[in-house]
Amino acid sequence: MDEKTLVESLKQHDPTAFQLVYDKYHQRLLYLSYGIVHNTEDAEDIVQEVFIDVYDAIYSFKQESKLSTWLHRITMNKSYNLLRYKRVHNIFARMEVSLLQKADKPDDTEEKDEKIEQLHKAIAALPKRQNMVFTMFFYEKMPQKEIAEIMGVALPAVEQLIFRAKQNIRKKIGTDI
Amino acid sequence: MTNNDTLFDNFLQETIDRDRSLAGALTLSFSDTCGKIEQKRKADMQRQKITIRLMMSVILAIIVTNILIITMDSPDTLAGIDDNGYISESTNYFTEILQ
Repeated sequence: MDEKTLVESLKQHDPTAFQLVYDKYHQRLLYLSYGIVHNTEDAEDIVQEVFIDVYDAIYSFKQESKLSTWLHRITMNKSYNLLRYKRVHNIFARMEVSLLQKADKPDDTEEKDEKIEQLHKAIAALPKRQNMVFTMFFYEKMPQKEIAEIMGVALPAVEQLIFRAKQNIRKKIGTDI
Repeated sequence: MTNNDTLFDNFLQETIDRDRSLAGALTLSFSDTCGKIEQKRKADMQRQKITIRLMMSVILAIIVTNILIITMDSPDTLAGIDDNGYISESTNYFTEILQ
């Protein structure tokens, strides 16, 4: 089934077409979302919401971009919205949870988890465009050409953004790995 | 490439692989998603019904209020007891209009 027919079938709310899209993209979107929010439950919720939105709002998809591009943009927007919401509303709750978790863990894993946590924070603190490219490239293993298409930039710009993202992460977490 | 660069790259790759395996183990089923869509559809319908009922109530309330205003403003209702204690002559508003 070509993409145009697939989108037309989605607009008719055809369950087979919906399942096709779901099977093809849900795992990729989970990697992408997890790469941004770093939380399994949140990533699952986001991807589920993406497909609910696809079902509801497919009529508004004008096919000016690829379906995959559209899905990626929705997923990224939802992930960033959730991060923003969490930053504002859950600062204290998260501090409490992390303190409790740390108290329960033995020393050797604690240090490693701290490093991972530091890396996650450094990824989250990247400028948005760098974060998007980094997540798609490393977490979703997406080819740079496809990333360029989704971001609407040239291929060298993607390479540059990946390079800068790695540099910034390195600066944030320091040289002591 | 320095030793530190290699260490950093290894650490980055290791963490990303770990994260990917976590995300890969997520079990988001198609039927669950369909269930959520169905739930949302029902909730939307319920919301629509409530909105329609609310709008109808508002329209009904406006109609009733308008009828009351017209009735109260009519000379029939305004007719009452005059300053001398006599019951003032009642004018039939609708008869007047018809005449």
